[in-house]
Amino acid sequence: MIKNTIFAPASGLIKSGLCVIRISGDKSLWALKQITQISEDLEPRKAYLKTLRDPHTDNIIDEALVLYFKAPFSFTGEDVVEIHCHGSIAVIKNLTEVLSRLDHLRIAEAGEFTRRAFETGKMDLTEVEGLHDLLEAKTQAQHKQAMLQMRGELGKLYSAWRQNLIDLSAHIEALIDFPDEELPLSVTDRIQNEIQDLIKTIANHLNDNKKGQKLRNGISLAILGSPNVGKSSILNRFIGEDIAIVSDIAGTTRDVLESTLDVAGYPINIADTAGIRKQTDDIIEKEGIKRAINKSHDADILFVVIDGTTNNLDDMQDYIQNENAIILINKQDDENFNHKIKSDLSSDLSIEISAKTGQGFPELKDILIAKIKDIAGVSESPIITRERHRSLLHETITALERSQNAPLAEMQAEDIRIAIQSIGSITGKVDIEEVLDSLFAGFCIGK
Amino acid sequence: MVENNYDVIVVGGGHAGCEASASSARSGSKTLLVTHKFSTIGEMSCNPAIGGLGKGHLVREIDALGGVMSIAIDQAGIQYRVLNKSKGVAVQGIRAQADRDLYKNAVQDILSNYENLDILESSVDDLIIDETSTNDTSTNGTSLNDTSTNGISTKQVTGIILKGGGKIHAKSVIITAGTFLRGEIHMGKKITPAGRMGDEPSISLAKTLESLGLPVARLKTGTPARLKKDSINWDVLDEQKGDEEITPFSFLTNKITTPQISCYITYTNEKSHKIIQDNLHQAGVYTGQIKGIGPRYCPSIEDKITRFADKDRHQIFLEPEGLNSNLIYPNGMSTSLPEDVQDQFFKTIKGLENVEIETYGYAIEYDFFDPQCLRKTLETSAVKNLFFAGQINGSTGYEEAAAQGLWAGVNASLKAQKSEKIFVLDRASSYMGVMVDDLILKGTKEPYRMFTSRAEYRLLLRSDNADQRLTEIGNKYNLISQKRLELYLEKKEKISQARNLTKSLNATPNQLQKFNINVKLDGVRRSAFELLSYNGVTIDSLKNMWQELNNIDKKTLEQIEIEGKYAGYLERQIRDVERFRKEENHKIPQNFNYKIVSGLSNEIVSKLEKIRPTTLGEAGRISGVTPASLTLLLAYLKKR
Repeated sequence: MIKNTIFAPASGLIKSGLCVIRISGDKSLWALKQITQISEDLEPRKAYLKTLRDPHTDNIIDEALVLYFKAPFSFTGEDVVEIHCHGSIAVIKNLTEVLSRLDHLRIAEAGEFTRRAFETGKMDLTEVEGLHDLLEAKTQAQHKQAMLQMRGELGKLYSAWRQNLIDLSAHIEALIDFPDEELPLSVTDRIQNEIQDLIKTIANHLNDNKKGQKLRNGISLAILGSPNVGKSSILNRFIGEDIAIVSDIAGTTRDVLESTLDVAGYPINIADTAGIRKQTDDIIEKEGIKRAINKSHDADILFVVIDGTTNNLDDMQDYIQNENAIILINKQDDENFNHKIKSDLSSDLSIEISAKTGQGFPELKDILIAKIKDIAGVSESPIITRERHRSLLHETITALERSQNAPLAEMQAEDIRIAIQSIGSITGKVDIEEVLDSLFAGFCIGK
Repeated sequence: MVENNYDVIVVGGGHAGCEASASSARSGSKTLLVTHKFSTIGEMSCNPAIGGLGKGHLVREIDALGGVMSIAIDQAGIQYRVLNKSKGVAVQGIRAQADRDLYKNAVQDILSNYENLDILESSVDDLIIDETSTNDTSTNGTSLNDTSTNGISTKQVTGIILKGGGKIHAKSVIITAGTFLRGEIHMGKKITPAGRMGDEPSISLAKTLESLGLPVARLKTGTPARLKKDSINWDVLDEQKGDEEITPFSFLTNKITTPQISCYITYTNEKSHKIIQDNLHQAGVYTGQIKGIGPRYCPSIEDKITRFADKDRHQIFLEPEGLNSNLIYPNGMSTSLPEDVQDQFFKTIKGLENVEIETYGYAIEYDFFDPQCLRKTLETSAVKNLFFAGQINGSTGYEEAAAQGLWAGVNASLKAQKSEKIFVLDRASSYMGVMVDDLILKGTKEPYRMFTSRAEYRLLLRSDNADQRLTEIGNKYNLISQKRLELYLEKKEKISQARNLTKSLNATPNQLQKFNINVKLDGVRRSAFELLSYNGVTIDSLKNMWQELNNIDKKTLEQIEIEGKYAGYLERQIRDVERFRKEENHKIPQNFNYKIVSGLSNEIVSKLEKIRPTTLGEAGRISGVTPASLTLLLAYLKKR
């Protein structure tokens, strides 16, 4: 029995100019030969133009470009064949059907190509996650971050820390397992210092205000204000300003509407909330206000909208003080507009606008972009994009900190072992032999 | 005296063979030990010492299971040291220099009078293999059981053929051939076939084993020259004394009565290095004459000088081979260089200016069989009822060999008695378990030696608690004497009472302060047991506060102190062990067909088919088996 070879239209089942069908596994070249009726061996990584036929009926399916990638030099690490055919739904369906009829071939399950790449060691876990993020990326900044991760930058960083710990562990293990050898005594100090440095480095990496996670999941922005101050008009005007709606998600209540915008390449989950006022007896309105307030707690950025023609800011006072707030004083076009409001506000981030005329909006966009970059700006160095990484890094630090106070060498060694495991779990690597390899490479041992 | 039918035959009288025949006999099987020469039973072919780190742990475990090695060394030990005294007990190990003759005599004495055990002086040329008696492997024929490719034995060993053709039958056979299988000694360019200096190698047996389809490869090890004691200038050398207070190996030994001696230390220097460097072209490991891989932790002197060129000296321990012996073992100086070069470089060393060499150092290459082809019981998967133990499995060291011998002996005996039971200890229970698990799942590229760092549950697997870990298991397999069991149970009861007492005694921070024990003044009462985990708190410092502790004996208090001191760490390890054992509980059927699990790469499938892990946990320890493939496997096993 032979393990299945899998295939799938890598570009999905949609009408398009071209479609790529990927086949992976031992039988991929064989499968290609069945449908192209060629007998010669294809040179890897070279494009051939071939006629695709149904081997049973001899009917022509399509003219296509075919490529062969020999294991392990392929995406999955297995033998891979790519068929670049025309993106006609009929062609794709026909080809899929013909391929499924071949022995040992079956259609791939979701994510199966990537899973094989992980299993053959072509990608580590962070790279797989990066690939997933790349496929899901909707904005430029998300794309950039995902590329960094998929290309292994994050994995490299964690692997380097792990290697650092393995070397330290090897030092300690050498002292433990070979006490009769003449090992340099200075190593104990070095170990302490290096652990201290690593704790600092990891802590810095963790102290990122969750930038990467925010970029990956979208920055949340809530529009807040009393009823009828122009929240919805502001949102609509905003979208007119060169900002596209990426998706509309129906709010869970009629009172909070969420959509995702692309602002200068950053994903913004914007929530338009119910008008807030303190005095109301309407139960439904009360619930809407409660949800609006909840949103304001979770939001990375608050647009607090004030009607510039009134002087009553009491209902909004709490939100004006919020450190994430940008205060929009609306209705600047109105003759009753009061410029004193801005000068009275203690907040630097206040701006006079008009949803009606668009005045102030270019400025608002600049302020918003600056704020977004502050919250989730793409850095050139890889950063944490998932809670999974964060909690494993916390475990690593906890173990390292404990190791610094451990009274005995074997306790310190144990803590470092735990740290190595935690950090290794991020990329999916755990192996005790590596410590021994490092030990014997570094020390002359041999009583 | 020797009959022609036994339950178990053990081939080889080295450390693995001795322990194997003893454990087989102890567990009730009529056992025969076959060895070339009675006089070399228990021979220490290399260094005259037993124990050390990891190794000392193994000896303690052998002792807890009623073995021979610990008893013999306690009669022959002439210098005892507990290594790592400056570190914690979890990584301390006992090491003893042995008087070679006393050790050998002790082993021979013990085995000559062993119940159920006969000894035959002969060499074994071949095995009796029965290829027809394997029809009892019933399979249910489902798609899960792919019997055509899964390595179920179709051959079975039923006895041995001696040199000269005599046959002896047995239900199980254990091979412990050491370095004898196609052994070759290298000294410079000279190659001599030998199992050990002065002994014939086993060639026909090696051929038989290879022809059975067992995967053979070569390893290399080495031994230094032996120096004449009276040619050394001892006055200029640093003395290394043994411990004042001796810790014996065996839990049954109360006192060591053998006289104790010192070892001495000297160093190589630039002159010696130059001589070795100039003659590297004559060293087998560098000329390509030696193909086998040697141990990284026990490199030859030429290796050390080449790999660590920046070190200007290397330590040499001058270890006496016995109380009355004129031989000195220069530990750290194993070599494959020719005799004249050995003469030259030794004479450059302080104290050895006029040294005379009795026998020269040499490298030895020998056959071993990839241990990945063994089952957890150390039975070969290719041939039923055939067991391997010791260097034949790629390990090195007397203690490693002995521990495998004990393991294989019990299992061969159980198999001979048609018992359902197998003797398998897991990684969380013992160093033995770690070693066998490592060998059969990962195989080995160099001679495998035990280190404490190989044991992930090191803090739980201590030398001091080997009896607590294993005595009752030994009893279940009938491996230990009534006396040992009673002594142990008594000790266990004392420890348990002391533990309860220290957990019940408690005090407030203010009360503690009066006795100079400073903890946070938070009003929380802390027990005596808890206090032991505080830096600087010892059981002695608690005695002032709680007089009742004075009524408990020293050894018991030591145990409580250890448990208390490591408490937080032990709890974490115990949680790890629970997780580990949970994975070990996901059993994989022995005939499982990996090919039907979709998503497993061919490479992983072929590894799993070769090694045939019995649990999901074991599968995870095989190198190259990824977490993702384990998930697939788990999902598949659960679905069934």
